[in-house]
Amino acid sequence: VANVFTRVTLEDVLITDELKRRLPTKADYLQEKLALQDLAWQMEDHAEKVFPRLVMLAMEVCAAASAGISLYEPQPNSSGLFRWHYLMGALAKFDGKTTPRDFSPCGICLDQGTPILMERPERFYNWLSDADISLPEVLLVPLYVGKAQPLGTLWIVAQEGQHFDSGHARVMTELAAFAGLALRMLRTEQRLNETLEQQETLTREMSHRVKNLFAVTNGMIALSARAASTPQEMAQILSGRLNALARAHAVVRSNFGDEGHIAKSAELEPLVRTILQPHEDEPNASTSNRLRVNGPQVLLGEQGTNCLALVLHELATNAAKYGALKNANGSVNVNWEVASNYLALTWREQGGPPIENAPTKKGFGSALAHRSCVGQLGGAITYDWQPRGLSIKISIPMERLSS
Amino acid sequence: LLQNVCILIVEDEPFIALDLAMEVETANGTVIGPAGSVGEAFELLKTARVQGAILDVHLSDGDVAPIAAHLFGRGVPFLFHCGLSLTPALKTQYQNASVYLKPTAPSNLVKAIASLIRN
Repeated sequence: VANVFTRVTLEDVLITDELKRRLPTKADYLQEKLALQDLAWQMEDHAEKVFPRLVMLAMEVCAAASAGISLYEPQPNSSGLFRWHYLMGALAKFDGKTTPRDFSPCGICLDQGTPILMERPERFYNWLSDADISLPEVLLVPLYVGKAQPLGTLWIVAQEGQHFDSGHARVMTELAAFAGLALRMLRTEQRLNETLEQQETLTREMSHRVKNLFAVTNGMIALSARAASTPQEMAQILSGRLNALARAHAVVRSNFGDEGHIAKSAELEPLVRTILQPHEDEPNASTSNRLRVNGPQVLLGEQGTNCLALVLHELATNAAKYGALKNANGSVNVNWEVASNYLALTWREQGGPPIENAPTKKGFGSALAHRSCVGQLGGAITYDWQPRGLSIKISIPMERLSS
Repeated sequence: LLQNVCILIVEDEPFIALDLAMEVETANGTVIGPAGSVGEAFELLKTARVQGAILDVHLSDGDVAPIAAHLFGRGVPFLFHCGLSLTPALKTQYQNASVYLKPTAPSNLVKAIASLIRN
């Protein structure tokens, strides 16, 4: 009654020192041995059941009223929280409840790194009393994965005060260490399986890609053959296109995506530069920067990279044959921006032979550029034949470019 | 071979699409498309009447099933030209369909669709 007006402090509820004073009643080595054996069996066959079994053993060995495991969950904007799992006994209905990392018995237990004992902690932790939870005495044991990584705590609640002794603390620490080891094995195995799956995915995707590449190359050869009048011309067209693909490939970076898939990505600017570079290096070019490239960072997926590489290659080839890149002092401006989830790219030629009117016949190159932009990327391409030079506008949905 | 015949080509790979288109034209057929997506193909089918179709299976906006169903409902013959295999759904739905794995020479595809149309 005298305590009613005194604020309860952590020191009032934390009574770990009591454990040393309470000597174990006769140690039951047989029970202990059976418990370890039991956990070992679970470890071998059902590693995922080790924790529920640990809780059950804690209930038995300590003759407890309730027990459970709190697992630590990091949170982006706070020090994280604990979530209650595998609850048994009187508190079972609170399974899934969360408690704050920095204001909870579990937090103290992990901070101290040893078993702790608390007496009616609801006097200090208001969230316990708010939930109408009363813990006459609770023993908490830290759970580690392997040696260092703290995972959470095992907690065991007694019906009455004066229940736990140093023997309980020792046995439960041993069992918890054993369970932590089991979890580490489980995680290692999971990682191994994930790696193997990734490997398989990689192999499958590689095979798919190679097959696809052959189909594309086949079409490319057939199409180049149709457009060329001599074998030399065909070889030139074909190697130009293959080169564009090879150059595009060189700016692509591979990385594993979130779901274990291989994600390939490239940036637009290096792609534009690498595709146009052969034209910049032409010996007859008088201006050193006949290509002006400008635009924000845009990430491209594999298909987007290949498509754009071929489109840009066709535009450049066309410009070299008939347009601005045919003249020594001609130039090409490539600008782009991203607005409402669309890439808007402008290709502007100047300094080429004057254009009198739009060509009447569509060449292969522009048919190909059209198919790539519209059919493959779901976008649009428009040509504006200004007298001073061709201007092309390409618009492509970003979501298609990044696939 | 395809005199006075309109052929719908659905194929999202530009090289293959154009190569096929030119082969159809070489056989005196009229090309509808090529369409690179299901949406584009439906757009074309609004105005064009086709007598046959060559369908790629996996397109940028989904598989070709809606187009196949549309053509099937109108008795228009078609064949599948696919990279790996038909989707399980297409396989069960069109058990007698002609399926050509890529790469197949465009001239063979044209011959095949011509004979489907004749019968």
